[in-house]
Amino acid sequence: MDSAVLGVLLVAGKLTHQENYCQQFRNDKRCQLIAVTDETDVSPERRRLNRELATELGIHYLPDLDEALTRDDVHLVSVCAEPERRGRILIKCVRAGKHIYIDKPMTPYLATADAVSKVVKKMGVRSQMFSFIHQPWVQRARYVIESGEIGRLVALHADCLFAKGPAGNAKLGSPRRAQYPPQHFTFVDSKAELYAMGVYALGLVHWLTQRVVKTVYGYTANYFFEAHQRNDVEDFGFLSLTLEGGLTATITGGRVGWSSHGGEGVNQVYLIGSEGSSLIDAYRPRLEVYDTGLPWTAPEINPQDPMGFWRSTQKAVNTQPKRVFAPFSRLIPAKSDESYFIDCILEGRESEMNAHQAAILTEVLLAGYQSAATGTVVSLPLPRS
Amino acid sequence: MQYWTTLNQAVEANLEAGRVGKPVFVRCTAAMVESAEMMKDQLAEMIYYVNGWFSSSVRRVYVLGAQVKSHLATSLEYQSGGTALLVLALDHNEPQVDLIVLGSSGAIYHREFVQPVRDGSLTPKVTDQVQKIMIAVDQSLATGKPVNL
Repeated sequence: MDSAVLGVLLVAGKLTHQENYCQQFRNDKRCQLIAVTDETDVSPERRRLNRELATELGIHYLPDLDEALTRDDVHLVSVCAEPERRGRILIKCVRAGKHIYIDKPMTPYLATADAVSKVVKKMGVRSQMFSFIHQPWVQRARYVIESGEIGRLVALHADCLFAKGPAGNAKLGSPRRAQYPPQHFTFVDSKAELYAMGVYALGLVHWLTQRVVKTVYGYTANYFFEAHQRNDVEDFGFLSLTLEGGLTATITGGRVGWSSHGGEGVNQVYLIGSEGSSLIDAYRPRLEVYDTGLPWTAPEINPQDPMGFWRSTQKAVNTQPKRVFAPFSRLIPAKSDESYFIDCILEGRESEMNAHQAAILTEVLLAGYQSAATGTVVSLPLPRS
Repeated sequence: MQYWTTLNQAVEANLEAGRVGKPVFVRCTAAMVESAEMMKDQLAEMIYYVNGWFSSSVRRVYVLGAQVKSHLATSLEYQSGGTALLVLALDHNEPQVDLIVLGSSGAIYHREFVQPVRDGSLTPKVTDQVQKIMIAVDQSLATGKPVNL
């Protein structure tokens, strides 16, 4: 294994967040990418996309996950399989004694979330779900809370709204009829966005407060995209939460369209304290820079990825970054989420967004979906069958 | 300048011009209330403006904030499907407001950190509809449940 310490196995390849995660693991000198793998019965298209990433990275594609997990040179598995099959793969990896890096959210199923959390604890491996908690603006929010400058935290309001996708073609005029439990979460052209984006905002609330959520009131909507409506998944949602100790919070999560923000989207948290308030925004402080260059325009729609989910498909249609906002945070050297996880493994400590925390977020999100479907406040914990 | 009335006019003008499509979601977080006693009056005023932006009636209200007097977070669901999250908090002499109006094909943002956020121009304009909503706000605070109108 040369001088590298940890061998990293990648589950799922192109057109998943593995496109991002693998680059961070590759950039970390303490890691060596071993191979891309997946379940043997994946679709031919998924297999092709997995092979494509392996080829691009110059590593092997191992078509049998079970076999790949027997390798002694694999210490850590980065799992980006689709949400519907992610949980069972995580359990397999943990049972094989591997540490797991988990695409977000961990799983849409409560029983699976509990099972992953339980098996991670039993096997004593390290786990981490991707989140925003290591980003400089979120660290700043924690500092504001811990410094006491706003007094005792009373409430917080977090937004994660992604400015991608060709918005403006949803049929409007009436409330969405939400179903519980939701059946599907990911399509080529849409995702359940309260699930996919709301988990970031919810993760912030959970991490910043370290408080148990007691009740959830949720709402889901189709505001922007015909594709989400056609596939019966929401493009926007919010949750109103009560937490232990009298704290309250609201979160929004959604995909709101290319033209809806000067940057990549709204990422902010408003902290309300007993002696003051503080709004922490990923894009502030910032410069705004205007020049004689052509104004930014949305990219052509890539039929492989109409909403702009993935790095490679956006590169293929030459998507340009928005350049007006120049947030200071881009200049702050920050450790990647992946490198933070490597620290946890090598130093023998728990990640602050481990499988147990991820399971808690799954439960709150599911409570939110139940609330959206029933129009009632849902108390936690949810009943286990 | 009457800050709130002018802000309302500015938002209305952009919505009427169709620049962001149809308004679908409003997030307004305002730490601008001098005292807890003024909280509901200012919420009523905010609701008055947001009702105008949606041009629809409210069908359900849910409020967080029963346990503290310094903060209210109200969700409004409109017959049209639009929604709003309106948060009010004490300003501690540092008034600030953050407004996001999401349209179906664009968005309006507004952020003001100091005066004139608290210039006295936010004063109750209680229509019948706002009055009904404020009764629902009280019911939701008392029961901890959403209230259908």
